[in-house]
Amino acid sequence: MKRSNLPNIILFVVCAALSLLVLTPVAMIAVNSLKNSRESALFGLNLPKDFVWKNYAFVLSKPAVVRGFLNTILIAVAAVLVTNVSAAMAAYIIQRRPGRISRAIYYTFLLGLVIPVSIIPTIRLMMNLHLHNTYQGIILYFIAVNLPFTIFLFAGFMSSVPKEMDEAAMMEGCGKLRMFFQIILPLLSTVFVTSTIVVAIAVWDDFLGPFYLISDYKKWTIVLNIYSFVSQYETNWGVVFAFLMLVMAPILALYFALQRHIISGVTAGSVKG
Amino acid sequence: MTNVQRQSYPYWFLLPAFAIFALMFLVPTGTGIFYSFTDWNINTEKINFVGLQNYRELFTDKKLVAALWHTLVYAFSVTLLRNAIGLGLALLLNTKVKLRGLFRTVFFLPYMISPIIIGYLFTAIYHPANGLLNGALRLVGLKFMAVDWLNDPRYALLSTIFVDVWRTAGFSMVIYLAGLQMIPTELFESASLDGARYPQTFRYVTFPLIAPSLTINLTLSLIGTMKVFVMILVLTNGGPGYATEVINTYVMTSFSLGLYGQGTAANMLLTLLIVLIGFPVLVLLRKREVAL
Amino acid sequence: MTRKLSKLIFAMIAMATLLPLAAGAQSKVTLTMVVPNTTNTAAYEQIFAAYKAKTGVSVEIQALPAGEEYGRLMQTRFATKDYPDLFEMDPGTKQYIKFRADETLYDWTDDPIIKRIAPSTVDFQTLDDKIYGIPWGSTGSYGIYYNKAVFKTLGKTAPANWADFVAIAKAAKAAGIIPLYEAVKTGWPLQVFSFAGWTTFVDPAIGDAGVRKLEKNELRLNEIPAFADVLKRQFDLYKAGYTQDNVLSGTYEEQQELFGQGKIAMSAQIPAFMFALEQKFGKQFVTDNVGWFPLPSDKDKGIAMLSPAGQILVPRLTKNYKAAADLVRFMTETANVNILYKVLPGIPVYTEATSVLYPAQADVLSFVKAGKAKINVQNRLSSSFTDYPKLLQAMFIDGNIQSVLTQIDENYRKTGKARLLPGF
Repeated sequence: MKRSNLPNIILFVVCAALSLLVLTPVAMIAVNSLKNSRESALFGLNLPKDFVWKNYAFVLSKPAVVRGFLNTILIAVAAVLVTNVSAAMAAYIIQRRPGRISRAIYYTFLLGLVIPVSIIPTIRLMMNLHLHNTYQGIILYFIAVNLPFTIFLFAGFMSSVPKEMDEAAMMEGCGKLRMFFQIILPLLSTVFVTSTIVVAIAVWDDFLGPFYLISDYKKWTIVLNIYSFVSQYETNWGVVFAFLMLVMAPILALYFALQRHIISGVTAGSVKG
Repeated sequence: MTNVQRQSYPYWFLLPAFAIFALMFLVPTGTGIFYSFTDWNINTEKINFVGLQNYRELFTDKKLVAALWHTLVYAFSVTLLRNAIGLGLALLLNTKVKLRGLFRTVFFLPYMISPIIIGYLFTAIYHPANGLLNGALRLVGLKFMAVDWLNDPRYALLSTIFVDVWRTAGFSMVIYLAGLQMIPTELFESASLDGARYPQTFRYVTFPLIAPSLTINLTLSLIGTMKVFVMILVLTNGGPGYATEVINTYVMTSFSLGLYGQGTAANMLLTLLIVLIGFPVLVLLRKREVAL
Repeated sequence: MTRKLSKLIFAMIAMATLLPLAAGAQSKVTLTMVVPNTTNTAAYEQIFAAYKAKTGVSVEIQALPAGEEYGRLMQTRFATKDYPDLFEMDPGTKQYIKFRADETLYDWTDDPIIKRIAPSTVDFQTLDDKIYGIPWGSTGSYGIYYNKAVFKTLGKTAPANWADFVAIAKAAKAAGIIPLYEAVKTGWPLQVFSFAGWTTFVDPAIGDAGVRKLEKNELRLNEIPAFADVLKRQFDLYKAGYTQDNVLSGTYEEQQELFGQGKIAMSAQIPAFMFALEQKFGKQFVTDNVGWFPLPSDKDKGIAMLSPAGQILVPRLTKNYKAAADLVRFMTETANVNILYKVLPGIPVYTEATSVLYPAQADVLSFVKAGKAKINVQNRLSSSFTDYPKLLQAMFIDGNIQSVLTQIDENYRKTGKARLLPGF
């Protein structure tokens, strides 16, 4: 017993040191978000000489923050819902009705996991469809880029849902849509959590899509608002850090609250394959 | 399959997903192939077919060749480092170390922060005079190492690589950890009864069993990092000069100039690169996985 | 867990549906004005507040990333018919070509405003007898802004020729002060020195005829020895250690800070530098301590490079275009342009306007009055020096001036070709 103590202490110290490597930069944002423009430009870890809460008031006085959050939430929610339901439906057929058609479609979807989006032609397509600069357009874009992974996820999970379930339901004369939505979907709730997390993070973080596809700043997601804000106020790190804190804090709070689900969601998605 | 069954698994269930995917992904990819052979730009109403001209221009452009090279260096370095570190962290947390749940949460945390925020954060950390990194280096007497990380062409690409490793090592870690935790403890015990030492245990017990995690980590990482964009945009904008230009920043420049055909062609090169590297790696790893 | 999640999702959907409704509730007209994010918006804010008090119409300012990206964003918005109500743009008639003014922009040619604008500016904004852009701001100069207090301790005054200029740099270096700082990374990245040098060195060498040839793509940029000479002078200053050490990373923010602290003798900058300094170090500092001179030639003080006032353009395909034009008329009323010049002093483009100039601006004006001034070459050419800042960075990295020139030339012709300019 005693012998195994020392290595464990060493391991603990190593872990603690590595944690500092992660936490120090985050702490730096936090303390510097409360400094004035000249002090914050020194990027020190010390507490501010005077706490400049005004930085936060200033950032919040710009409509960009709240609007960015609302846009992101709206787009993410819509993308998550449609992606989940349509992916589940597709995966259901792909798994339950094997054959050439299903396989061809499945592999086509999987191409999307590898191939990067052709973004400039996407803009043109959106313009032709009159979807450029609309919520619908960017939502459809996010659904399309997230479907491959979600279908992959659902198809993997679907095999663990016993087929007898569908058969029993069929015996009772359930319609196929009703059967799918009432019997099958509820069984997929764990994957729904996973894919919701994965898709929401993807929408939240994606820069490339909105950057090219939304020129109307009123529809910008939070990431674009950060980009624009920082390039406007880059001479005042205090307010820049305040903005970054405002975006980071809710996400990190959510992460700490749900971290078990998030981590297992992310890994479940990856390891299943 | 009976008729009834066929009816209860109708193909039109595939339709919603496939329609959106085809419209928003396959169509742009397909038309993109076409546009990459045209002179499409912001001022032309009529698009003309120009054959291989865009590609010829790209390959005679030193900036693009540099961008291709940087993309490869970036992708392979980030992949290698983040997997090495991720695996190390996973092994560390697979011991009985105290508070390992908390450490796992902390190590994964950077992955939850948007890349754009991390980019801005590190422009501050790398600041030559006031940044934390150089501050720390000076503190421990390594003043000569306190260079201008993002603006010295010798170190700029390396510095962007480290940022991405910092961001994603925790992600690789949790995947390895999930793999490690699927290994039954009896396997370890029987190995140590055999008198196997740690390296051997790792080589013959641990490693083969985490091979699937390795496959997924390497392919995800390679494919993802070749698409790098916002991190470079925010940290260096491809500079200084063209020292950190990658394909996606090149595409953006072409787009800024209104050279849509050329930008699309550069995008196609990225697609080609990913397919050429991504698929063989995947196949190779899968084969080894089976062999182990 | 799932139930909580679904509740959360429903709450979000409810919020998302309410959002557009809430936006629709404010039915009053709101105009959107787009500006580059390097713009100091204080004057706009005051004038727009007055406009709201008078008409009830509110104006929202939207700042987009400045530089080449700004032009690209605006062009993309035009291509997608997503017009702002009005927007600020770099000066000159090349913007008319860029935005196909005859189809898309409000025509100001016969508007009474034009009569109140200085004739030279009107000329500058006229293409084929048409005026689509209303000048806004003041005539300024890219050039060398110097710290008078530092010069005093060095025992120096504004240089009479290039040798003087180098001697000042040498003296500053000996005194442990950064001789010349040009921000490279942010704000106004690396281009001020060479554009300011153009009027002193290149214009006299190639003459107006040479610039006209460039406009028609009959002269190659990499075949102008005087232009290579300007770049070489900049590179030699760096080689001699007369620029800041971190030549590839100097930021606008650091430049302001060190200049204000007296740690920089000279800054290659644009007029907005003074407004930034005023915000950080106060009006007194700018009045007492900031001087200006053009890049001197080998023989004399050189020729001032003038950056014309920017312009405001009004797309005429929006439903609010009449309201937007009214706003512009309001903005250009004498009382309101006086607000502009009070907040951002400069050489006015409106004949009735008054402005109290900073001494550095008076320095510029003295060159204009002596006939020793020329407009920025960028504003005289329809094509652009695309990707110029990055190419200059490359010059600092490998010192290969000829290769940089070749690429500048290539980009210039490529851009001209993409803009379908005659001769390209």
